[in-house]
Amino acid sequence: MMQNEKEAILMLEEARLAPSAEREMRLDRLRRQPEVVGEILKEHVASQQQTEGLTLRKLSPGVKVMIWFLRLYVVFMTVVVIVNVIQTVHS
Amino acid sequence: MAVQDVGRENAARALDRTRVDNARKNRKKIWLLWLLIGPGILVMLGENDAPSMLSYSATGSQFGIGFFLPFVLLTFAMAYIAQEITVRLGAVSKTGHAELIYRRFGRFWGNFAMIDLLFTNLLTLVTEFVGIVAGAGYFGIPAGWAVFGAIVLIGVSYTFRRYWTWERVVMILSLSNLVFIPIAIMAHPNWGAIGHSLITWGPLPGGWNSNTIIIMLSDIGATITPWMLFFQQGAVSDKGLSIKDLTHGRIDTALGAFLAAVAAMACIIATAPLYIHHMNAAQFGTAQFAQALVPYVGHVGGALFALGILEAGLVAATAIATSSAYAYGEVRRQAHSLNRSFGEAKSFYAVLFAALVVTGGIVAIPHFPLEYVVLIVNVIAVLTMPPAIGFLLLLINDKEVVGKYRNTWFLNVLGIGVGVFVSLAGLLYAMTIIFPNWQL
Repeated sequence: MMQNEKEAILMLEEARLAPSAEREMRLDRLRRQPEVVGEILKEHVASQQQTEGLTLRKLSPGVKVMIWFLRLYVVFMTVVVIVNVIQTVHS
Repeated sequence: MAVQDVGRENAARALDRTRVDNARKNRKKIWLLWLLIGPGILVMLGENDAPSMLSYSATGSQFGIGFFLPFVLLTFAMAYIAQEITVRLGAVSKTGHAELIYRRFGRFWGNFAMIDLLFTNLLTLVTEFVGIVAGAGYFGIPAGWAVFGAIVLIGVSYTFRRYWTWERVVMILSLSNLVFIPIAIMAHPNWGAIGHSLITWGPLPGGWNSNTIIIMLSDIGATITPWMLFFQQGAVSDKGLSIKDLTHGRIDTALGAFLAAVAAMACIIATAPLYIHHMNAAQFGTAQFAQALVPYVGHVGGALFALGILEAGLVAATAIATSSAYAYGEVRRQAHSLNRSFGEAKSFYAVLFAALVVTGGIVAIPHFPLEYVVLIVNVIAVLTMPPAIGFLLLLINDKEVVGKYRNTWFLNVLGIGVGVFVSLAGLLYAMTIIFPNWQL
Protein backbone atom coordinates (compact mmCIF):
# COMPACT_ATOMS: atom_id res chain seq x y z
CA MET A 1 0.00 0.00 0.00
CA MET A 2 1.49 3.34 -0.98
CA GLN A 3 2.62 5.66 1.76
CA ASN A 4 0.31 8.40 0.46
CA GLU A 5 -2.68 6.12 0.75
CA LYS A 6 -1.67 5.11 4.26
CA GLU A 7 -1.50 8.71 5.31
CA ALA A 8 -4.89 9.40 3.79
CA ILE A 9 -6.46 6.42 5.51
CA LEU A 10 -4.96 7.43 8.83
CA MET A 11 -6.32 10.93 8.42
CA LEU A 12 -9.70 9.49 7.48
CA GLU A 13 -9.87 7.35 10.59
CA GLU A 14 -8.92 10.30 12.73
CA ALA A 15 -11.46 12.50 10.98
CA ARG A 16 -14.29 10.06 11.38
CA LEU A 17 -13.82 9.79 15.11
CA ALA A 18 -13.17 13.46 15.71
CA PRO A 19 -15.69 16.15 16.53
CA SER A 20 -16.68 18.33 13.59
CA ALA A 21 -14.20 21.10 14.41
CA GLU A 22 -11.37 18.61 14.39
CA ARG A 23 -12.69 17.07 11.18
CA GLU A 24 -12.43 20.49 9.60
CA MET A 25 -8.83 20.72 10.77
CA ARG A 26 -8.07 17.33 9.21
CA LEU A 27 -9.69 18.46 5.98
CA ASP A 28 -7.59 21.62 6.03
CA ARG A 29 -4.48 19.52 6.60
CA LEU A 30 -5.35 17.32 3.66
CA ARG A 31 -5.83 20.39 1.49
CA ARG A 32 -2.16 21.19 2.04
CA GLN A 33 -1.07 17.75 0.82
CA PRO A 34 -1.59 17.78 -2.94
CA GLU A 35 0.43 14.58 -3.46
CA VAL A 36 -1.86 12.58 -1.19
CA VAL A 37 -4.99 14.04 -2.78
CA GLY A 38 -3.54 13.57 -6.23
CA GLU A 39 -2.82 9.93 -5.58
CA ILE A 40 -6.32 9.22 -4.36
CA LEU A 41 -8.00 11.19 -7.15
CA LYS A 42 -5.82 9.83 -9.98
CA GLU A 43 -8.81 8.74 -12.01
CA HIS A 44 -10.61 12.04 -11.44
CA VAL A 45 -7.59 14.03 -12.56
CA ALA A 46 -7.24 11.95 -15.72
CA SER A 47 -10.95 12.35 -16.51
CA GLN A 48 -10.72 16.10 -15.85
CA GLN A 49 -7.84 16.41 -18.26
CA GLN A 50 -9.64 14.36 -20.88
CA THR A 51 -12.80 16.48 -20.57
CA GLU A 52 -10.84 19.70 -20.85
CA GLY A 53 -9.26 18.35 -24.01
CA LEU A 54 -12.65 17.82 -25.65
CA THR A 55 -13.27 19.92 -28.72
CA LEU A 56 -16.46 20.72 -30.56
CA ARG A 57 -18.01 17.65 -32.05
CA LYS A 58 -18.47 17.62 -35.80
CA LEU A 59 -22.18 17.25 -36.42
CA SER A 60 -23.49 15.59 -39.51
CA PRO A 61 -26.25 17.44 -41.41
CA GLY A 62 -28.75 14.88 -40.15
CA VAL A 63 -27.86 15.47 -36.50
CA LYS A 64 -27.98 19.26 -36.97
CA VAL A 65 -31.43 18.98 -38.49
CA MET A 66 -32.53 16.74 -35.62
CA ILE A 67 -31.26 19.13 -32.94
CA TRP A 68 -32.87 22.18 -34.56
CA PHE A 69 -36.11 20.25 -35.12
CA LEU A 70 -36.25 19.26 -31.47
CA ARG A 71 -35.62 22.83 -30.32
CA LEU A 72 -38.26 24.29 -32.63
CA TYR A 73 -40.60 21.52 -31.44
CA VAL A 74 -40.15 22.74 -27.86
CA VAL A 75 -40.87 26.36 -28.78
CA PHE A 76 -43.95 25.33 -30.77
CA MET A 77 -45.27 23.08 -28.02
CA THR A 78 -44.70 25.75 -25.37
CA VAL A 79 -46.91 28.13 -27.36
CA VAL A 80 -49.55 25.40 -27.69
CA VAL A 81 -49.51 24.77 -23.94
CA ILE A 82 -49.75 28.45 -23.04
CA VAL A 83 -52.65 28.94 -25.48
CA ASN A 84 -54.38 25.91 -23.99
CA VAL A 85 -53.92 27.10 -20.44
CA ILE A 86 -55.29 30.56 -21.24
CA GLN A 87 -58.29 29.00 -23.02
CA THR A 88 -58.89 26.62 -20.11
CA VAL A 89 -58.74 29.30 -17.45
CA HIS A 90 -60.94 31.72 -19.39
CA SER A 91 -63.53 29.05 -20.05
CA MET B 1 1.24 18.57 -8.50
CA ALA B 2 -1.32 16.16 -9.92
CA VAL B 3 -4.57 17.96 -9.00
CA GLN B 4 -5.37 21.34 -10.47
CA ASP B 5 -7.13 22.65 -7.40
CA VAL B 6 -6.30 21.20 -4.01
CA GLY B 7 -9.07 23.07 -2.28
CA ARG B 8 -11.77 21.93 0.05
CA GLU B 9 -13.66 20.31 -2.81
CA ASN B 10 -10.85 17.94 -3.75
CA ALA B 11 -9.88 17.26 -0.15
CA ALA B 12 -13.48 16.31 0.71
CA ARG B 13 -13.72 14.18 -2.40
CA ALA B 14 -10.45 12.45 -1.54
CA LEU B 15 -11.76 11.60 1.93
CA ASP B 16 -14.98 10.24 0.45
CA ARG B 17 -13.06 8.15 -2.09
CA THR B 18 -10.82 6.73 0.62
CA ARG B 19 -13.87 5.56 2.58
CA VAL B 20 -15.25 3.88 -0.54
CA ASP B 21 -11.93 2.22 -1.37
CA ASN B 22 -11.59 1.03 2.24
CA ALA B 23 -15.06 -0.49 2.18
CA ARG B 24 -14.33 -2.19 -1.13
CA LYS B 25 -10.99 -3.59 0.06
CA ASN B 26 -12.48 -4.85 3.33
CA ARG B 27 -15.50 -6.30 1.47
CA LYS B 28 -17.98 -4.37 3.58
CA LYS B 29 -20.75 -4.69 1.01
CA ILE B 30 -23.60 -3.07 2.95
CA TRP B 31 -21.40 -0.15 4.02
CA LEU B 32 -20.14 0.23 0.45
CA LEU B 33 -23.71 0.37 -0.82
CA TRP B 34 -24.59 2.97 1.82
CA LEU B 35 -21.61 5.06 0.79
CA LEU B 36 -22.44 4.97 -2.91
CA ILE B 37 -26.21 5.34 -3.04
CA GLY B 38 -27.64 8.82 -3.12
CA PRO B 39 -27.96 10.55 -6.50
CA GLY B 40 -30.36 7.96 -7.89
CA ILE B 41 -32.60 7.84 -4.85
CA LEU B 42 -32.61 11.63 -4.55
CA VAL B 43 -33.48 12.21 -8.18
CA MET B 44 -36.25 9.63 -8.32
CA LEU B 45 -37.87 10.50 -5.00
CA GLY B 46 -37.26 14.18 -5.76
CA GLU B 47 -39.22 13.74 -8.96
CA ASN B 48 -42.17 12.61 -6.84
CA ASP B 49 -42.63 16.29 -6.13
CA ALA B 50 -45.77 18.17 -5.05
CA PRO B 51 -47.36 18.49 -8.52
CA SER B 52 -46.44 14.88 -9.32
CA MET B 53 -48.11 13.54 -6.20
CA LEU B 54 -51.15 15.70 -6.99
CA SER B 55 -51.09 14.32 -10.53
CA TYR B 56 -51.11 10.77 -9.14
CA SER B 57 -53.90 11.78 -6.76
CA ALA B 58 -55.93 13.11 -9.70
CA THR B 59 -55.24 9.85 -11.55
CA GLY B 60 -56.47 7.72 -8.68
CA SER B 61 -59.55 9.87 -8.11
CA GLN B 62 -60.56 9.83 -11.80
CA PHE B 63 -59.60 6.31 -12.84
CA GLY B 64 -59.32 4.27 -9.65
CA ILE B 65 -57.29 1.08 -9.56
CA GLY B 66 -56.62 -0.03 -13.12
CA PHE B 67 -54.57 0.90 -16.17
CA PHE B 68 -52.54 3.64 -14.55
CA LEU B 69 -50.89 1.41 -11.92
CA PRO B 70 -48.80 -0.56 -14.43
CA PHE B 71 -48.51 2.58 -16.57
CA VAL B 72 -46.76 4.39 -13.72
CA LEU B 73 -44.40 1.41 -13.36
CA LEU B 74 -43.64 1.72 -17.08
CA THR B 75 -42.88 5.43 -16.76
CA PHE B 76 -40.40 4.78 -13.96
CA ALA B 77 -38.78 2.05 -16.05
CA MET B 78 -38.37 4.66 -18.79
CA ALA B 79 -36.96 7.09 -16.25
CA TYR B 80 -34.41 4.46 -15.21
CA ILE B 81 -33.27 4.06 -18.82
CA ALA B 82 -32.60 7.80 -19.09
CA GLN B 83 -31.10 8.24 -15.64
CA GLU B 84 -28.72 5.27 -15.92
CA ILE B 85 -27.13 7.06 -18.84
CA THR B 86 -26.39 10.06 -16.63
CA VAL B 87 -24.67 7.77 -14.13
CA ARG B 88 -22.35 6.49 -16.85
CA LEU B 89 -21.73 9.97 -18.24
CA GLY B 90 -21.01 11.39 -14.79
CA ALA B 91 -18.85 8.51 -13.55
CA VAL B 92 -16.73 8.33 -16.71
CA SER B 93 -16.35 12.04 -17.51
CA LYS B 94 -16.52 13.36 -13.90
CA THR B 95 -18.38 16.28 -15.44
CA GLY B 96 -21.89 17.65 -15.33
CA HIS B 97 -24.43 17.40 -18.13
CA ALA B 98 -24.52 21.08 -19.07
CA GLU B 99 -20.73 21.26 -19.27
CA LEU B 100 -20.58 18.28 -21.62
CA ILE B 101 -23.21 19.86 -23.90
CA TYR B 102 -21.20 23.10 -23.83
CA ARG B 103 -17.91 21.42 -24.63
CA ARG B 104 -19.16 19.13 -27.39
CA PHE B 105 -21.89 21.19 -29.02
CA GLY B 106 -20.69 24.71 -28.40
CA ARG B 107 -21.61 27.85 -26.53
CA PHE B 108 -24.99 28.30 -28.25
CA TRP B 109 -26.36 24.86 -27.31
CA GLY B 110 -24.74 24.98 -23.88
CA ASN B 111 -26.39 28.30 -23.08
CA PHE B 112 -29.65 27.18 -24.67
CA ALA B 113 -29.71 24.06 -22.48
CA MET B 114 -28.91 26.10 -19.38
CA ILE B 115 -31.50 28.84 -20.04
CA ASP B 116 -34.10 26.23 -20.99
CA LEU B 117 -33.42 24.41 -17.74
CA LEU B 118 -33.39 27.54 -15.57
CA PHE B 119 -36.72 28.68 -17.05
CA THR B 120 -38.53 25.37 -16.59
CA ASN B 121 -36.95 24.89 -13.16
CA LEU B 122 -38.22 28.31 -12.05
CA LEU B 123 -41.74 27.36 -13.12
CA THR B 124 -41.43 23.99 -11.39
CA LEU B 125 -40.10 25.58 -8.20
CA VAL B 126 -43.19 27.79 -8.08
CA THR B 127 -45.35 24.67 -8.06
CA GLU B 128 -43.20 23.13 -5.32
CA PHE B 129 -43.80 26.14 -3.11
CA VAL B 130 -47.50 25.96 -3.98
CA GLY B 131 -47.41 22.40 -2.68
CA ILE B 132 -45.44 23.40 0.43
CA VAL B 133 -47.92 26.19 1.18
CA ALA B 134 -50.90 23.92 0.56
CA GLY B 135 -49.47 21.14 2.72
CA ALA B 136 -48.58 23.54 5.50
CA GLY B 137 -51.97 25.26 5.16
CA TYR B 138 -53.71 22.03 6.11
CA PHE B 139 -52.07 22.39 9.50
CA GLY B 140 -53.01 26.07 9.77
CA ILE B 141 -49.57 27.47 8.91
CA PRO B 142 -49.90 30.75 6.96
CA ALA B 143 -48.41 30.91 3.45
CA GLY B 144 -45.73 33.46 4.29
CA TRP B 145 -44.42 31.42 7.21
CA ALA B 146 -44.54 28.21 5.18
CA VAL B 147 -42.42 29.75 2.41
CA PHE B 148 -40.02 31.34 4.90
CA GLY B 149 -39.68 28.13 6.89
CA ALA B 150 -39.10 26.07 3.77
CA ILE B 151 -36.34 28.37 2.49
CA VAL B 152 -34.67 28.37 5.91
CA LEU B 153 -34.88 24.58 6.19
CA ILE B 154 -33.51 24.07 2.69
CA GLY B 155 -30.82 26.67 3.34
CA VAL B 156 -29.68 24.89 6.49
CA SER B 157 -29.02 21.72 4.49
CA TYR B 158 -26.41 23.62 2.46
CA THR B 159 -24.52 24.92 5.48
CA PHE B 160 -22.69 21.63 5.97
CA ARG B 161 -20.40 22.45 2.99
CA ARG B 162 -20.05 18.74 2.38
CA TYR B 163 -21.82 17.03 -0.48
CA TRP B 164 -21.90 13.78 1.51
CA THR B 165 -23.67 15.31 4.54
CA TRP B 166 -26.13 17.28 2.41
CA GLU B 167 -26.93 14.12 0.45
CA ARG B 168 -27.58 12.03 3.58
CA VAL B 169 -29.85 14.67 5.13
CA VAL B 170 -31.93 15.18 1.99
CA MET B 171 -32.04 11.46 1.23
CA ILE B 172 -33.46 10.66 4.65
CA LEU B 173 -36.02 13.43 4.20
CA SER B 174 -36.92 12.10 0.76
CA LEU B 175 -37.78 8.69 2.19
CA SER B 176 -40.82 10.29 3.78
CA ASN B 177 -42.28 10.17 0.27
CA LEU B 178 -43.12 6.60 1.27
CA VAL B 179 -45.75 8.03 3.66
CA PHE B 180 -48.26 7.37 0.87
CA ILE B 181 -47.87 3.63 1.50
CA PRO B 182 -49.56 3.64 4.93
CA ILE B 183 -52.22 5.99 3.52
CA ALA B 184 -52.91 3.46 0.75
CA ILE B 185 -53.20 0.68 3.33
CA MET B 186 -55.59 2.81 5.41
CA ALA B 187 -57.81 3.13 2.32
CA HIS B 188 -58.46 -0.64 2.53
CA PRO B 189 -57.90 -1.23 -1.19
CA ASN B 190 -59.04 -4.25 -3.09
CA TRP B 191 -55.73 -6.12 -3.33
CA GLY B 192 -57.17 -8.48 -5.90
CA ALA B 193 -58.01 -5.53 -8.15
CA ILE B 194 -54.46 -4.22 -7.74
CA GLY B 195 -52.99 -7.56 -8.77
CA HIS B 196 -55.43 -7.82 -11.66
CA SER B 197 -54.56 -4.34 -12.95
CA LEU B 198 -50.81 -5.03 -12.84
CA ILE B 199 -51.27 -8.13 -14.97
CA THR B 200 -54.03 -7.03 -17.38
CA TRP B 201 -53.43 -3.22 -17.53
CA GLY B 202 -57.13 -2.76 -16.97
CA PRO B 203 -59.68 -1.48 -16.47
CA LEU B 204 -59.47 1.95 -18.10
CA PRO B 205 -62.74 3.72 -17.23
CA GLY B 206 -64.02 5.85 -20.09
CA GLY B 207 -61.58 4.27 -22.55
CA TRP B 208 -59.20 6.35 -24.65
CA ASN B 209 -60.12 10.02 -24.91
CA SER B 210 -58.57 13.47 -24.53
CA ASN B 211 -58.84 13.37 -20.75
CA THR B 212 -57.04 10.02 -20.63
CA ILE B 213 -54.23 11.40 -22.78
CA ILE B 214 -53.91 14.50 -20.62
CA ILE B 215 -53.69 12.36 -17.49
CA MET B 216 -51.13 10.09 -19.19
CA LEU B 217 -49.09 13.10 -20.22
CA SER B 218 -49.32 14.49 -16.72
CA ASP B 219 -48.11 11.18 -15.28
CA ILE B 220 -45.22 11.02 -17.76
CA GLY B 221 -44.31 14.58 -16.81
CA ALA B 222 -44.48 13.47 -13.18
CA THR B 223 -41.78 10.88 -13.85
CA ILE B 224 -39.42 12.10 -16.55
CA THR B 225 -38.18 15.66 -16.61
CA PRO B 226 -35.03 17.37 -17.91
CA TRP B 227 -33.85 18.63 -14.51
CA MET B 228 -33.33 15.01 -13.47
CA LEU B 229 -30.65 14.54 -16.12
CA PHE B 230 -28.75 17.64 -15.04
CA PHE B 231 -29.15 16.91 -11.34
CA GLN B 232 -28.08 13.28 -11.31
CA GLN B 233 -25.07 13.75 -13.53
CA GLY B 234 -24.02 16.79 -11.50
CA ALA B 235 -24.54 14.90 -8.25
CA VAL B 236 -22.63 11.85 -9.52
CA SER B 237 -19.66 14.02 -10.44
CA ASP B 238 -19.89 16.10 -7.24
CA LYS B 239 -20.04 12.90 -5.19
CA GLY B 240 -16.95 11.74 -7.06
CA LEU B 241 -18.23 8.40 -8.28
CA SER B 242 -15.68 6.51 -10.32
CA ILE B 243 -15.93 3.95 -13.09
CA LYS B 244 -15.55 1.19 -10.48
CA ASP B 245 -18.76 2.42 -8.88
CA LEU B 246 -20.94 2.06 -11.98
CA THR B 247 -22.72 -1.06 -10.74
CA HIS B 248 -23.61 0.62 -7.47
CA GLY B 249 -24.69 3.72 -9.36
CA ARG B 250 -27.10 1.57 -11.36
CA ILE B 251 -28.36 -0.11 -8.18
CA ASP B 252 -28.86 3.32 -6.64
CA THR B 253 -30.89 4.49 -9.64
CA ALA B 254 -32.94 1.29 -9.81
CA LEU B 255 -33.65 1.46 -6.07
CA GLY B 256 -34.73 5.06 -6.41
CA ALA B 257 -37.00 4.22 -9.34
CA PHE B 258 -38.53 1.32 -7.41
CA LEU B 259 -39.18 3.34 -4.25
CA ALA B 260 -40.62 6.23 -6.23
CA ALA B 261 -42.83 3.92 -8.29
CA VAL B 262 -44.16 2.28 -5.13
CA ALA B 263 -44.91 5.70 -3.60
CA ALA B 264 -46.63 6.83 -6.80
CA MET B 265 -48.76 3.70 -7.03
CA ALA B 266 -49.58 4.02 -3.33
CA CYS B 267 -50.82 7.55 -3.98
CA ILE B 268 -53.09 6.34 -6.80
CA ILE B 269 -54.43 3.56 -4.57
CA ALA B 270 -54.92 5.97 -1.66
CA THR B 271 -57.16 8.27 -3.72
CA ALA B 272 -59.04 5.47 -5.50
CA PRO B 273 -61.91 5.67 -2.94
CA LEU B 274 -62.77 9.07 -4.43
CA TYR B 275 -63.31 7.40 -7.79
CA ILE B 276 -65.33 4.58 -6.27
CA HIS B 277 -67.60 7.13 -4.54
CA HIS B 278 -67.95 9.22 -7.74
CA MET B 279 -66.36 12.30 -6.28
CA ASN B 280 -65.41 14.94 -8.86
CA ALA B 281 -61.83 15.63 -7.81
CA ALA B 282 -60.52 16.92 -11.15
CA GLN B 283 -59.73 20.40 -9.78
CA PHE B 284 -58.73 19.39 -6.26
CA GLY B 285 -55.67 20.79 -4.60
CA THR B 286 -53.76 19.39 -1.64
CA ALA B 287 -56.15 20.52 1.06
CA GLN B 288 -59.24 19.32 -0.83
CA PHE B 289 -57.69 15.89 -1.40
CA ALA B 290 -56.62 15.59 2.22
CA GLN B 291 -60.06 16.59 3.45
CA ALA B 292 -61.91 14.44 0.91
CA LEU B 293 -59.88 11.40 1.96
CA VAL B 294 -60.70 11.73 5.68
CA PRO B 295 -63.91 9.62 5.52
CA TYR B 296 -61.87 6.78 3.95
CA VAL B 297 -58.46 6.99 5.62
CA GLY B 298 -59.28 8.90 8.79
CA HIS B 299 -57.93 12.19 10.10
CA VAL B 300 -54.47 10.67 10.54
CA GLY B 301 -54.48 9.58 6.90
CA GLY B 302 -55.61 13.02 5.77
CA ALA B 303 -52.87 14.68 7.82
CA LEU B 304 -50.28 12.26 6.46
CA PHE B 305 -51.40 13.10 2.92
CA ALA B 306 -50.89 16.82 3.52
CA LEU B 307 -47.53 16.09 5.15
CA GLY B 308 -46.54 13.96 2.16
CA ILE B 309 -47.25 16.82 -0.27
CA LEU B 310 -45.32 19.23 1.97
CA GLU B 311 -42.32 16.91 2.11
CA ALA B 312 -42.52 16.26 -1.63
CA GLY B 313 -42.33 19.98 -2.30
CA LEU B 314 -39.40 20.46 0.11
CA VAL B 315 -37.22 17.69 -1.30
CA ALA B 316 -37.98 18.59 -4.90
CA ALA B 317 -37.27 22.27 -4.28
CA THR B 318 -33.87 21.31 -2.90
CA ALA B 319 -32.98 19.01 -5.79
CA ILE B 320 -34.33 21.29 -8.53
CA ALA B 321 -32.59 24.40 -7.18
CA THR B 322 -29.36 22.39 -6.99
CA SER B 323 -29.73 21.21 -10.60
CA SER B 324 -30.12 24.86 -11.71
CA ALA B 325 -26.98 25.83 -9.79
CA TYR B 326 -25.00 22.91 -11.22
CA ALA B 327 -26.02 23.81 -14.80
CA TYR B 328 -25.20 27.49 -14.30
CA GLY B 329 -21.81 26.78 -12.77
CA GLU B 330 -20.91 24.24 -15.45
CA VAL B 331 -21.77 26.49 -18.39
CA ARG B 332 -20.26 29.61 -16.81
CA ARG B 333 -17.13 27.61 -15.91
CA GLN B 334 -17.33 28.58 -12.26
CA ALA B 335 -17.00 26.57 -9.06
CA HIS B 336 -20.05 24.39 -8.60
CA SER B 337 -19.76 21.90 -5.78
CA LEU B 338 -21.56 21.34 -2.50
CA ASN B 339 -18.14 20.53 -1.08
CA ARG B 340 -17.27 24.21 -1.38
CA SER B 341 -18.11 26.94 1.08
CA PHE B 342 -20.33 29.88 0.24
CA GLY B 343 -17.25 32.05 -0.24
CA GLU B 344 -15.57 29.58 -2.59
CA ALA B 345 -18.61 29.11 -4.87
CA LYS B 346 -20.48 32.41 -4.67
CA SER B 347 -22.31 32.21 -7.99
CA PHE B 348 -23.28 28.57 -7.41
CA TYR B 349 -24.97 29.32 -4.10
CA ALA B 350 -26.30 32.66 -5.38
CA VAL B 351 -28.20 30.93 -8.20
CA LEU B 352 -29.42 28.28 -5.81
CA PHE B 353 -30.81 30.70 -3.24
CA ALA B 354 -32.04 33.20 -5.81
CA ALA B 355 -34.15 30.46 -7.42
CA LEU B 356 -35.65 29.55 -4.05
CA VAL B 357 -36.26 33.12 -2.86
CA VAL B 358 -37.72 34.38 -6.16
CA THR B 359 -40.09 31.45 -6.60
CA GLY B 360 -41.05 31.39 -2.95
CA GLY B 361 -41.74 35.11 -3.16
CA ILE B 362 -43.93 34.65 -6.24
CA VAL B 363 -46.13 32.19 -4.38
CA ALA B 364 -46.55 34.69 -1.58
CA ILE B 365 -47.79 37.43 -3.96
CA PRO B 366 -51.56 37.85 -3.49
CA HIS B 367 -53.70 37.14 -6.58
CA PHE B 368 -50.74 35.89 -8.62
CA PRO B 369 -52.24 33.57 -11.28
CA LEU B 370 -50.65 30.45 -9.88
CA GLU B 371 -53.19 28.25 -11.65
CA TYR B 372 -51.56 29.21 -14.97
CA VAL B 373 -48.16 28.11 -13.74
CA VAL B 374 -49.36 24.85 -12.26
CA LEU B 375 -51.24 23.91 -15.42
CA ILE B 376 -48.31 24.83 -17.66
CA VAL B 377 -45.72 22.95 -15.61
CA ASN B 378 -47.82 19.82 -15.51
CA VAL B 379 -47.21 19.26 -19.22
CA ILE B 380 -44.23 21.41 -20.16
CA ALA B 381 -41.77 19.01 -18.54
CA VAL B 382 -42.68 16.18 -20.89
CA LEU B 383 -42.64 18.53 -23.86
CA THR B 384 -39.07 19.69 -23.12
CA MET B 385 -37.87 16.11 -22.69
CA PRO B 386 -37.31 15.08 -26.34
CA PRO B 387 -34.42 17.53 -26.98
CA ALA B 388 -32.96 16.66 -23.59
CA ILE B 389 -33.06 12.95 -24.53
CA GLY B 390 -31.62 13.85 -27.93
CA PHE B 391 -28.51 15.43 -26.41
CA LEU B 392 -28.29 12.65 -23.84
CA LEU B 393 -28.17 9.96 -26.52
CA LEU B 394 -25.66 11.93 -28.60
CA LEU B 395 -23.36 12.24 -25.58
CA ILE B 396 -23.60 8.61 -24.45
CA ASN B 397 -22.72 7.48 -27.97
CA ASP B 398 -19.79 9.88 -28.13
CA LYS B 399 -16.63 7.76 -28.10
CA GLU B 400 -14.44 10.71 -27.13
CA VAL B 401 -16.54 11.36 -24.02
CA VAL B 402 -17.30 7.88 -22.68
CA GLY B 403 -14.99 5.58 -24.60
CA LYS B 404 -15.94 1.94 -24.16
CA TYR B 405 -18.85 2.85 -21.85
CA ARG B 406 -20.98 4.13 -24.69
CA ASN B 407 -24.39 2.65 -25.42
CA THR B 408 -24.81 -0.73 -26.99
CA TRP B 409 -27.30 -1.04 -29.82
CA PHE B 410 -29.86 -2.44 -27.36
CA LEU B 411 -29.53 0.51 -25.00
CA ASN B 412 -29.83 2.85 -27.97
CA VAL B 413 -33.06 1.12 -28.99
CA LEU B 414 -34.39 1.61 -25.45
CA GLY B 415 -33.22 5.22 -25.30
CA ILE B 416 -34.69 6.11 -28.67
CA GLY B 417 -37.85 4.27 -27.67
CA VAL B 418 -38.20 6.47 -24.59
CA GLY B 419 -37.61 9.60 -26.68
CA VAL B 420 -40.13 8.57 -29.33
CA PHE B 421 -42.73 7.59 -26.73
CA VAL B 422 -42.44 10.89 -24.91
CA SER B 423 -42.47 12.85 -28.18
CA LEU B 424 -45.58 11.04 -29.43
CA ALA B 425 -47.34 11.70 -26.14
CA GLY B 426 -46.57 15.40 -26.57
CA LEU B 427 -47.79 15.43 -30.17
CA LEU B 428 -51.01 13.68 -29.21
CA TYR B 429 -51.55 16.32 -26.55
CA ALA B 430 -51.02 19.08 -29.14
CA MET B 431 -53.58 17.44 -31.44
CA THR B 432 -56.21 17.48 -28.71
CA ILE B 433 -55.58 21.20 -28.20
CA ILE B 434 -55.33 22.32 -31.82
CA PHE B 435 -58.23 20.13 -32.92
CA PRO B 436 -60.53 19.93 -29.86
CA ASN B 437 -63.17 18.03 -31.82
CA TRP B 438 -60.69 15.39 -32.90
CA GLN B 439 -61.47 11.98 -31.44
CA LEU B 440 -59.14 9.03 -30.97
